[in-house]
Amino acid sequence: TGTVELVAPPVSEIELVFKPHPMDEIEDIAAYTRYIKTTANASVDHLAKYLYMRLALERQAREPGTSTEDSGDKNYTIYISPTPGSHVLLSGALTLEQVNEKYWKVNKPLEMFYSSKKPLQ
Amino acid sequence: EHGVNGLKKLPRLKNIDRSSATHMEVTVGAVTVIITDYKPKERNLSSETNN
Repeated sequence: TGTVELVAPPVSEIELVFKPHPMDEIEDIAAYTRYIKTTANASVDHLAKYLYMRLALERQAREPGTSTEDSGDKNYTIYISPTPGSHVLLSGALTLEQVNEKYWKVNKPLEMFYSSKKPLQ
Repeated sequence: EHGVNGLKKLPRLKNIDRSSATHMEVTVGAVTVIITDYKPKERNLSSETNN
């Protein structure tokens, strides 16, 4: 009948490793490393919010009775390391697809870093 | 390298236990995404300490 059906374009998935930033000086990095998969339209802000929610839930599991609202750090900053030893602060509005295209030139899963500390100016 | 749907194929994680997946819905603004969290595969320590 001439109707047009709009179909959303497929969104690719991105798998990435999410590690604590070296400046947080966490000894057991493996325990705080996350292996995650999401869609390429997820933004850096999505990752920061996910991290806050996930860590709050884990803290609540360890310490029953605490509220997820009392979980301390709410603002994680997210970095990528395009070259060994360098960490580039990522804008929250960037999507993972943009991060991958702009900063990640190697053929291996994306590696990102998170920190609860304010970024160095 | 591109898949059949024209999207760039991205490398997949290795050494993770895909049966351990947990999912979380995260909304920022008007965009909701699903984030899946995997646990790493257990390392075989016996073979590493067997010198």
